[in-house]
Amino acid sequence: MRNALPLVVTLAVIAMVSGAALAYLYQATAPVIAEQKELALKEGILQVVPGASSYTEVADGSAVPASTDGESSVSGLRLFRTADSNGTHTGLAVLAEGVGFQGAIQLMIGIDPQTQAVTGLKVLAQQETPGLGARIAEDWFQDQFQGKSLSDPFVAKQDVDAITGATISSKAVADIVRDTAQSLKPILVQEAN
Amino acid sequence: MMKLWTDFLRGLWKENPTFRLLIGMCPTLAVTTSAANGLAMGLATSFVLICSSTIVSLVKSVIPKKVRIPSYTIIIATFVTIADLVLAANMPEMHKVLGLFIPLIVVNCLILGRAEAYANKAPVHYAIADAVGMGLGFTWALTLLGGVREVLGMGSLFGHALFGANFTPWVIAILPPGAFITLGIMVGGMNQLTAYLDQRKKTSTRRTVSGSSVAQ
Repeated sequence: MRNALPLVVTLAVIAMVSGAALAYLYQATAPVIAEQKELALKEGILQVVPGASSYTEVADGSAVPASTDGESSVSGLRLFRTADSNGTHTGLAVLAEGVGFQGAIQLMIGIDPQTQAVTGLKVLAQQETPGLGARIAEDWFQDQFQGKSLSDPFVAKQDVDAITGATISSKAVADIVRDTAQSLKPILVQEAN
Repeated sequence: MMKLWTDFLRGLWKENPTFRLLIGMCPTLAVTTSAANGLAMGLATSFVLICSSTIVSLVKSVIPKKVRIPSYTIIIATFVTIADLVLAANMPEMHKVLGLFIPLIVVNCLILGRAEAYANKAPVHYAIADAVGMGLGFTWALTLLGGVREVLGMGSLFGHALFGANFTPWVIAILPPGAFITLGIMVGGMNQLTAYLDQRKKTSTRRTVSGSSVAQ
């Protein structure tokens, strides 16, 4: 037992030094990382709604009712109302999260409440297979959603082009868009008026 | 000075971690779906390897032998977390791509392997030379592997399309089996090349030896 003391002390000292260094670095980087996330969110919102220059989060966005059939692939929604430089209401942006092939997929979907159409789509976060499912973040895949009506079927390989070798990821994105559209229906009726 | 140089060169070719020692295979197979991923993973691993080798070499005399492995693991994990946080703060795009694999650098046996096999026996400057060489060796191997798989599987290199629209990519090259196939072919090629070079070296020495005997 006597011999164990130096071992314990060594490990304790190393762990303390490591812990202190990491605590310091975490404190230093946390605000920057949060800022980067906020920036990515803002960029996403302004990108999916044409002509938008500012946005406000709709407070009851998280209270958006889930799809009625109970099998919704969307696990969280945040709703943003966008405005152009004159303050005129331009549209809606929805941050939707759903399940992909390996982890959560976060999508920013722009919606025009008047025409009930998708104005843009951007993948904000995903953990799909690099080189395959991760290609959902490529422009050609994201851009195909632009102009689609919210009442479209959104079925991969039918009205949504799937990525070769990554049908599950493609289907996941299409499902999230469809279920988001479903969940938003009651709100969109209000927004249109 | 000479020894510093040999320590550095060792990792680049003769004891290349990927193609000769075959260690650190997990990230090698998993992230090399494109040249850029391979390069970034190689550089992130090199950073952790160089830092941890330096620290291990500096503190080697004060760490009791019985707890050296947990100690090295804490040191390595610390630098991995540092790399993770710094990447997230300064290069969010790269962090997004590598996200899942950065924490896995901790269990890359290349890093613990160099700490155990070299850094805990060598003075700090040799340990650094070894770590830089091994890190660069790992980086070029991963970049090459990623490049080959990207060209075959996506028809592009570092994201730039190489072929026209008529090119049908071999999707298998960027799927997991493609990693094993490409790596196997490259290790085989590397063995052939080394054997050929050794052979040539041998014949050229023999020639000089016989040449000098003729001259006598």
